[in-house]
Formats: sequence, C-alpha cells, structure tokens
Amino acid sequence: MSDPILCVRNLNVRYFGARGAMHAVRNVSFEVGKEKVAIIGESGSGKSTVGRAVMRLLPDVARVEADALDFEGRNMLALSEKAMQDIRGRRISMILQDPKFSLNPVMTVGEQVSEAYLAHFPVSRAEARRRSIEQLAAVRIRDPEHVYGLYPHEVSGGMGQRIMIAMMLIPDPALIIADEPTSALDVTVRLQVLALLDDLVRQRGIGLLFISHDLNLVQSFCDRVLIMYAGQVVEELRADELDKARHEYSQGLLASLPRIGARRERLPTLNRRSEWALDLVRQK
Amino acid sequence: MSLIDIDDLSLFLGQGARRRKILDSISFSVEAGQTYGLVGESGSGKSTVLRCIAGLYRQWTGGIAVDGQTFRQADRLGWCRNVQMVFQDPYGSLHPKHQIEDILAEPLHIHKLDNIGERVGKVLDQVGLPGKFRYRFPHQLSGGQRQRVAIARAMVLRPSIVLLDEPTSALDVSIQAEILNLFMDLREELKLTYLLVSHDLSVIDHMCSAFAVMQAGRIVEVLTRDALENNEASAPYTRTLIEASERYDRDLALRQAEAEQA
Amino acid sequence: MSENSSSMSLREYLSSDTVTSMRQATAQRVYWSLRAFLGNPLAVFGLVVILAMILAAIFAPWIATHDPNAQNLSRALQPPGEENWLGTDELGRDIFSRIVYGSRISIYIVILVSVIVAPVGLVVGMAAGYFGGWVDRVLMRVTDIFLSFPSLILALAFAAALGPGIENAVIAISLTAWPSIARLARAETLTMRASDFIAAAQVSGASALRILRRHILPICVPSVIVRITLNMAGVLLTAAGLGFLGLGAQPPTPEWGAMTSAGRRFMIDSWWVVTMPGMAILVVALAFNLFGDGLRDVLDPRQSR
Repeated sequence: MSDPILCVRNLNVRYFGARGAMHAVRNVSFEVGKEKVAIIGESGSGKSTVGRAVMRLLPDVARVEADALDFEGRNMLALSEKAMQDIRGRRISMILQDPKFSLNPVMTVGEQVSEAYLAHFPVSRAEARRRSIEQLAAVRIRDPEHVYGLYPHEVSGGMGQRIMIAMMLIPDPALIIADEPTSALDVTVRLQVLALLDDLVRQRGIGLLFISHDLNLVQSFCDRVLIMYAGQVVEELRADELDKARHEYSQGLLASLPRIGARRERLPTLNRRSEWALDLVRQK
Repeated sequence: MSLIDIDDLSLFLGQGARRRKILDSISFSVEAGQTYGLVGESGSGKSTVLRCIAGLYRQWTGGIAVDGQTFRQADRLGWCRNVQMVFQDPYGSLHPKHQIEDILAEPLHIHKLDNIGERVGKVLDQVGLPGKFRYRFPHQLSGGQRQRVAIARAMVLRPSIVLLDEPTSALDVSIQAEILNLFMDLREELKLTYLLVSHDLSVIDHMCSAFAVMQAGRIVEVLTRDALENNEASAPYTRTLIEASERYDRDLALRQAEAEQA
Repeated sequence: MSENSSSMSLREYLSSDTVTSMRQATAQRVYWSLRAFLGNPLAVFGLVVILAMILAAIFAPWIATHDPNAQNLSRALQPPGEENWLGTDELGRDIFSRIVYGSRISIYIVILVSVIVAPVGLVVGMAAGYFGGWVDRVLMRVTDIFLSFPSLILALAFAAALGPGIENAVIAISLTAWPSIARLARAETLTMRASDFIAAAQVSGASALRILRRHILPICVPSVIVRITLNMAGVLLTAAGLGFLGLGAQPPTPEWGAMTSAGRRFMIDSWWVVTMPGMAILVVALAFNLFGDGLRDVLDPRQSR
C-alpha cells in the first residue's frame, strides 16, 4: 500500500461526565489509504466517536489522546483550531446519516452548493451557479437545473444525500468520513449512493472511512473492515474474508444476521462474554 | 376461508389538490398460523396497510375481514382484543411517563379483565423480561428491552393476530436476532398469526412463508419463500430489490441508473 | 418485606437499582427531581420567598404586630422604626401588618386564577389538538379572540362592567389568562397525536377520553404547571394594577396595589408608604419567575435554555 492518507495509532477517547469518566475509545489504530475502510460495530461500540475524534468534532467533555493522528503526513493533534477548520473544510469531508439535518431548510439546495463553491473559489455568482449545476450532474442527479431550485424538504433522502456529496466534493477532499450514510435510505437508492462513493475512491483516489452497522453491506462494498466492540478494535480483516473472522464476537455477529435462503428455525444469539471488554493491549 | 382477508383495499389521504392515493386496490389473504410478509421501500404503503387493519385509519374503501367478520361489522373492543400491533420505534411507542407496569396493565383495564397483576407478571415472563423491570420507566431500559415491553403489551390481550411494523429495524443485529427468535417462540406458544412489514428481505425470508412486494401503494408481486430462494421472482422491481438487498454490486448500480435515465 | 425495607437506609431506598414497588419508583423520581431543583440557587430563593409568603398569609394574626385596619391618626406617616417596622400610612396604620395581611389577598387571587385557568386551558387545548378538524378551528378562533385583548384593558372593562372587587378582578384576569394555557396544551397535544404511543393506546381500544386523560394529560401537565407559575407574576401585577386603579380590592382591604395607590400622594415626603408594598410586589413577582424557571428545568427539560 502507498502512503496512507490517514494514520491513527492508539487513539483513546475519554468522556468526563457527571457520573465519572467513560473510556469510549480504547487504543484504536488503523490506516486509510486510497481505499474503502469500514468500521463496524453495534450501538455504543464507539465507532462514531472514532470518526468524530478524527474530525475533532467531539464535545468539550471528551478528551482525545493518541500516539499518532496523522493526516497527509501532518500531525493533527498539534494543529490549532483554525488550521483544523481549514482541514475540515477542504481536505476531510464528513457525510452523516440524515442529510435533512445537514442542509439549511430556508435556502434552495442549489444556492447552498453555490455558497460552498464561492467559499473555496474566487469566481462570480453566475460562474458558481454553472459549476454547481455541473457538480450536481456529476453526482448523477437527473435534471440538475430543476433540482438547483428545490428546497431541502422537496428532495428525497437519496437525492439529499447526493446533494451533500456534491457539496462535499467541491473543495477536492482527500478523505471522506461517512457515518452511516445509507442507513436512512431505501436499498435501491442506497445502491446508487454507494456506487457514487465507489467511483470517487476509484477515479479520484479519495480515501473513504465508512462507519456502519451493516455487515452484509460492508462485506460487498469495502476493502478492509475493522470490527469494534466496547471501544476497541477486536479484529481487522479484508472485507471479502469477513466470513473467516476469528474473534468470537465477529463470528457471533455474522451468525446472528438473517440471510436469504439460510432456513434457520432460530437465529444464533450473541452471548456477550465479559472478557471481550477487557483491555486487549494489556492482555498481550 | 383465510384468517385475514384483505379485499380491494384503497386509501386516499389529504384534501383538495394534495389528495393522494396511498393504497391502490390491495388484496391478499393470510392463513391462520402463518407469518405473512409485506416488503417494500419507504412510501410503498406497507405500514399503511397495517394501520388500516389495526383501525388507525378509517377512511379506506374495500374490505378488511378477520375470521369472516368484517371490520365494519365488528365491535371495536372485540377487534382490538383480537388484532394487536408492534411498532417500529421502541423509543416512541412507549409512554415516557408510564411505568412498565402501567403500560402493560392499560390494555387490561380498557378491556375490564381481572387478575391484572398476575397477567402482567406472566406476559413479562413470556417476553423474557425479569420481574424487576416492572416498576421501571421506559427511559431506564435499552432499545431491545423496550421492544420486549412493546411486544408484551401486544401479547397481554391474548390476540390471535399480531401486526409487526418493522419491529427490528431500529435495533442492533444481535438484538434483532433475539427479538426474531422471540417472535418465533411466541407464535408457537400462543398460536399466533403474524403480518410482518419490513424493508429487509432477509428478515422477511427468515420469518415468512409468503410475502407481497409493494411499490407505490400497489402489490407488485406475491412470492413464496421457495420462489424467492429459487430465484423465481418475475417482476423487474422485485428482481432489483432482491439483488440490491443481497449485496453491493457496481454493475447493478450502473444498469439501474441507465434504466432510470431511459 | 417491611423488614427488608426498614433495614435499607432511606438513601439506598431512593437510589437503589432494584425497584420493588410503584411507590419506590415514584419516590425515586421525586428524589432526583428534587436534587436537580436544589442545585439551582435562584429557584430555591424563589421557592423560599413563596413559602414565606404562604406562611405569612396563614399565620398573619400571629406575625402582624398591629391590627392592619386600626387607625391611629396621632401616629400617621411615621417613618420605619422601632414601633412600626416599615412605618405607618396616612391613617396611622402599620404598613408591615398591612403587607402581611395583604399577602392573603395576593395568594387568594393567584390560587383562584390558577384553579380556573388551568383546567379550562387544558381541556380546550387538548380537545383542539387531539380532535383537530372543525373542533380545532372553532376552539382556536375563540382562543384567538381572547388572546387579542390586552389583558389589563380587558380586565379593566370587566371590572368596570361588573363593578370593582376582588372576585371580579379574578374573573377578569382569568378570562385573559386561559388562552395562553390552551395554546400551550394544544401544541403539546399536536406533537403527541402522531406518536406511536398514542397509536398503541388506540390499538388497545382506548376511548378518546381515556387517551386524553391517561396518556396526553400527564405530558401536558408539567409544562402547564411551569407556564402557570411563570404567569403568576403577571397575575400578581395585573391584580396590583387593578387595585392601584381602584378597580380591584376596595379600601380598607390591605391589598398591595391599592396600598401603593393610596400612598402615591405622600410619595415625596413619606417614601415608605409607596415603596414598602411596591417592594413586596416586586420581590414576590420575581420569586414566581425564578421558581417557574427552576421548575421548568426539572419538569420540562426540553424547553430549558
């Protein structure tokens, strides 16, 4: 693999709340190159916290520590908030589950794409509009001229997600962090959004960190998978080898998934073992 | 005669220019003891069918009958006692200020049944919740535990038909497996008939012997589990749905996009 | 069982994870709410003032140093001092005693208005929100009509029509205060109407009345209590305003508004005649606002800042 875009070593996130400290992410290490890397886990596993920690989008009560948190060779931990904002705007983009919450409800979607364009390039409004429509077409929106004038509540979930991707691509990011980007979408629409992300990785050489709970999807869509449980990465493997997972938790998770044609009276359920939550690093 | 007969069910919602056809001549029937599925994407009307059967919408046309008795003939309380429903969101379907005990006793009070304490204890046991949950509030429970409470509420009246509206789509996969197993156990134990709505074909395949595929308020195709597994689906929409839910496939995505353009 | 609970300390009973009765669950909830409330010093200040006022009203004959209506012209307009803590008015009546007795009238008005306004507002608002359609349209237009009158002006008109007096002041204030409660209850009901727990109650066979009473009411009540508490300051001020204008309580009743009104002629030379009852109004109105804010944080966390 060539130089990784993102390199995370021993990432730890602790929350300091009213009821004491909570160790949400423990010694997580991974790299993302020009590929699709998935972080998979159930709710509370800390998978979303990892994405937010990289973006430095966690609330003040969270403390982030890491041996290394390098993006394109720069140590992100040492960056000022201003430099970090610059990276968030231009080099790393984030897609969230529900596009409706990320778009401004009182501006047309086209205006919002134009605004994003103007923020990055010194061009006229007419030029920004022309480029925005190109951008909408690039994310395979049919009739982009029409969509340009729509308000967020007038577009469907899949369309909204494509618009978010169009906006995000304007500054030419090197890394995309997608947190459950397709969970709110129908399967047929999901396919289109995934194909779009797939193209970005293949054609533009963007790195994709794909945070999801959907094992089935990750298996066919991503290149590598990290499986998280109780704040730790319990296993890392190639997506097409997910069936050969060795950790008991990964195996249990895969087995509990209903599959077409499996014909089982009962689904095997997960017996959570307390030792899974023990510190892996200390065990070694 | 089947247990549930839906005949030419249509529903319009909204008024004036915004009046829209939500359901368009839906007909199907479900045998006693069967789990029948309705699968489709958002806006296909699959949940609306359940809400019509449960009596949450009244302005439909056509026929809904259970055990030969139509909805219009039946008395409301009797219908409710026989037909219960489990909702998708375990966070929204439990009253935030009622304790679990209140939630489970409420249907019993409405139907003026006796031995309330005993029945509540029994149903908690049936859905696998320890008795200590009885005096908790919903916000003190996890998503899976809440869904068990919602299931217990549906079962406490001893219905013969339970309508399941995406009952596991808000849950983690390991919890989903537990809840699906629970549904299987309860079906055997209480001799239930399920009508299961889901967007997830693998859940439908796991649970249902037969199912209807819905799109834009209409039934596109009715399939048995065997037909699904032997790849006998004929409607193009069904085929796309099956392929798209199985796995991510770039070529399929491109083909689909081209088909849409054309 | 009883042995078991007596061996458990109160603290354990209130924070224990295993709840064994409905009573314990309720006690625990009250305990945590109380803890949250006590963490807010301003709200506690409000509560203390309100409690002090209630105690003053109940035990007025023991607290007051003089008969509130006893005139003593030889001691008219005495400044605050040893004999009359807050001074005397133009008829030589002890202001401190009059303020203490006046708290009875203020509390009487505030409680009466709340008792009238809360049920009316709740019933109208919940019915409008739950049934929708023409029920909603009719009820809300009526509400809008009452809402469009400035409250003091409407109260003035009523007091003028029905004649001055405390009871008429209460009716007048209530007429202008219920619409805001109705609107609040309607908004709460609307957000709940489409929720699954209401649908679940309908599927259980619950009647509309039962749903309103058992399911919607418990969620509306806390925010209505908060709103009413916050309204009390306004009620108190309107009542004082009517008293000031001579349309509320009639002399010689020691009503705070009427007292400030009577004292304004002597304001330049004898500031205390106006200032003391004015301060009472200010402090109590402030206390209701602070208490209401604190209550909102505990009962209705969604609306807090």
